[in-house]
Amino acid sequence: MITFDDVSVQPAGSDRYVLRAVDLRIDDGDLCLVVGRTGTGKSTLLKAINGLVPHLTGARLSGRVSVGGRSTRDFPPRQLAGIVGYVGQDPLRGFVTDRVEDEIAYGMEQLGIPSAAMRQRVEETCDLMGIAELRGAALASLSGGQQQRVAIAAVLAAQPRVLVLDEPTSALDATAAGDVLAAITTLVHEVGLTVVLAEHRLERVIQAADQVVWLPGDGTAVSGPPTQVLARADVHPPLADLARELGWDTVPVTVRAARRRVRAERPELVPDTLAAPAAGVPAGEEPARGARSAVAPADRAGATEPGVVARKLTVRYGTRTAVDKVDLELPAGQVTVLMGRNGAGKSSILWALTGTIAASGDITVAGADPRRLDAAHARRLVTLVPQTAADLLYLPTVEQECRQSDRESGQPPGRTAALLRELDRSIDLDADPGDLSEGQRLALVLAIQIAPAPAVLLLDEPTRGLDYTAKARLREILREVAREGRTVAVATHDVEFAAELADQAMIIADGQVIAEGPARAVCTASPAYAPQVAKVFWPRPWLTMADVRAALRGGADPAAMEAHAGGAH
Amino acid sequence: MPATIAVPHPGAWWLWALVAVTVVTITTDIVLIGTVIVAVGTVGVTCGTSEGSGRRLSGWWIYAALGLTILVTRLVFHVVLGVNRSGTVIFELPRVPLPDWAAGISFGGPVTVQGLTAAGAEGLRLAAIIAAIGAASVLASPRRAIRLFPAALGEVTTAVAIAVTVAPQLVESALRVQRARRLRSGQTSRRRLLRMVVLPVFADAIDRSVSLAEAMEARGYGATSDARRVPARIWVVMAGGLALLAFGVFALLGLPRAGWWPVVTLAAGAAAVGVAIALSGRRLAVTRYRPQRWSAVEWGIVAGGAVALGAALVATWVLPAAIRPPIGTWQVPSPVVMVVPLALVAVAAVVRPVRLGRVGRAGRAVADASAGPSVADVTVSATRGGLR
Repeated sequence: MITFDDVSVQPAGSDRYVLRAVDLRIDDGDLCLVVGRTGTGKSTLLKAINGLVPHLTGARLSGRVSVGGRSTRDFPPRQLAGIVGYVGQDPLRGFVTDRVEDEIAYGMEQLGIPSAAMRQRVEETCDLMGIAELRGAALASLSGGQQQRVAIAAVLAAQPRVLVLDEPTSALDATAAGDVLAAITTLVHEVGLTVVLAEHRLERVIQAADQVVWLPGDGTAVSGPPTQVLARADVHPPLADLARELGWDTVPVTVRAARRRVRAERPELVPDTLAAPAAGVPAGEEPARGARSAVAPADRAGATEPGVVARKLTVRYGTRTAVDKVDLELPAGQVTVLMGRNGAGKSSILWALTGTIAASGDITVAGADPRRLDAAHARRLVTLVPQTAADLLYLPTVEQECRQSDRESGQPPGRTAALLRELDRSIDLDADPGDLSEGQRLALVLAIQIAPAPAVLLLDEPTRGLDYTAKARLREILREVAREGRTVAVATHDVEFAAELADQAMIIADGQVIAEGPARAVCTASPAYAPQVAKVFWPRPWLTMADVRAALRGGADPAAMEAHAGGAH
Repeated sequence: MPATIAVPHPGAWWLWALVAVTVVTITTDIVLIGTVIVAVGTVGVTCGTSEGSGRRLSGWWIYAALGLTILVTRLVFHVVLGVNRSGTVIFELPRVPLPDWAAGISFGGPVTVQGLTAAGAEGLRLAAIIAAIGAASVLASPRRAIRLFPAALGEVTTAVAIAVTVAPQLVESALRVQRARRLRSGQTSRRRLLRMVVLPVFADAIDRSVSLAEAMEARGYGATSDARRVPARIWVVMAGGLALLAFGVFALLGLPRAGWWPVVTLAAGAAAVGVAIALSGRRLAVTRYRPQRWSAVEWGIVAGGAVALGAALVATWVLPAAIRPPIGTWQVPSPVVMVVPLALVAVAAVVRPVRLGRVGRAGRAVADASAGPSVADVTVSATRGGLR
């Protein structure tokens, strides 16, 4: 269905090749997953399929890309619109109209589908993607998950033979991502659509893939069945890590396959061993080893000074209550993770804690109420890395951003730049922040927001667009920040990331905290918030790869074990 | 619950705004221009829905602020560098002697009532044009207008689409940068403001408009049924038409004593563009999904515009002194001239106040015809847009 013949792509004005001599074949009706670290050319590969590269980007493309027998050399993207449906990374940017129904019909209008057929297809597509009740809604008022589904519906309605999706689930919570992926799998199986998909969180989609294309970063592409390619690729979903750790030659793609294999092979794991708690609590303050396990995690948290205390925190938007009389304490020197579905109120809580949106209730951040302080002083207490981190950047070069940040936070010149070097050495100070990769941009924003040395650092959905390596790096950084005694709170959908990072976890639903406690207890309490490793080894308490490694080595840490067992269920 | 939209046809609003623009370009009366600004502003603020665009205040105020900036800049330039320095002196600036090669430019000198009013009238006219276009952008989102663009000659109309969306996009981008600066407690000296804020806002807005063009292309905008290119002769007609249009606009705005021929040029240009679009459009097979009906409301809006335009034209024939008073003079407006702003603002009464409804249980849009847009409702979508 799709063939790449000796395809090389060179961005305009650059002598570097993003893709080099790529030969690729994607068969009709396959679900093909494109994996690779950030900046390896996944988006370029996807855009080459419908000719957006090179027709709209001005890049140089040699070789031949053809879709359904049509070469992108002879047909511009608009002539391929009937064959290929393309959904970009940010659905909101890709919308042409501003109403759901109009957006779905737009592609069909351009292709000249008769009016009666159009109405029928709009209905069918709405039902298929589960968005029938949103038909008249304004696109800008939808949640991230709804926008993503509308974007897919909008290209599906034109009935293309190929669907190209660039990170369709990166903004979605686990449930919404599951819905979108289920819809895509249905399309592959029931309609026979060919789907090409780029995704960072492989664990969500890998089980549905027929073929995996791995871009190692040197411009080449490695293609093959998922179990084999994943064993070699430099992007590891948790199950691939597990397979490597246990010495398996192929990677199980589902939790079920992994459980079966664990049961069959019985790897030598010391049963009651856990990795040392990741908490940033200094060793001296740890409860004595072997002490009665009555030292419950909650007490442990109470032992340290809370960095943030909020009482009856309420945020209202007009008639809607986003945060409903929430009481919360975030312990200093620890990382707290806020989880919950899209629109549950996680972001609103974080923004309220910075004092920049109207909220009622008491907020005490490091002994003061940020709402009563001017912006410059509040910045020394609490800073926030917002969901679209790029929103904080508005200057033409990285260096200017750093200098501006020093000025804003009253720091000596060079402090932000020094922090940035610690976070990521690879960033060129003369680069335009817009040209950085997601991970680099996040590092820059982190440096800017850590620069004033705030007592509390808040992050809203920081893992969007990050590959596994970048996420691991971010985890280290946040642990380090917590170790300095600061309070860190992260709102995230990424349960794998949360499980490896968090000391404390909080689940938010409908503006209320419905569960809170040590991360280990919260994350194993329900499958929705359990990482894959926990599911594979259930009912054993292993949560992360660090636990599995500790159990393999047999390094005992019974105190932690007992403490956490007390909190579970 | 997401907000729903039920607004009049975009074409009606753009025609209405076009009337306002035409009127302010043919008149020299400050009072008329001022009242037209008030009229379009009233309609823009009261009849617009913010359609989940992420703000509490009507977006029209941003256009108004831009217009005010232009007016003030024009006045400051006049005081410092103005040429027209005869008449009743208000105050006198020390005159800076300039070298011979700068003859014709006076730096400083007497500032007169007449000079100041003339400069003010020019600045006010530009501000009024911006206010009218702003009102149209707020009332009929450009995104809805794009859908109605003929897809013929895709490249040209895509360029138009980008041009039309850049202004509202600028507003969005300005708000975005503003938010970023607040989160970082950014304090910027005025001197650096241009480089630090204005340029990033422009870069961001253009970036977003380009991704809109990319999305339109990927969705098949301008695809021809036989996948062939448009022949060169149609391009020639198109280019000629556009050139005539551009020159006509220039003549209308820039050559006040040109008489009727700018209008003739404009008409010829429009005809040529229309022919080119019709010819190339035969290759397209564009259909319309549930085309928006041109109902009584749309006729009402257009009628308001027609009455305003009619009054302005009658005034130019019958009372030229009333609509084109000598520049720099004040006068009591004549009733015929005052029909113009009244007709423009009367449109607000025709348009059923649209309330941002909720999606009802049966999936139907619930529109409340009795109440005007409530601030509380607008905020829901506003803040959601900002926080998600």
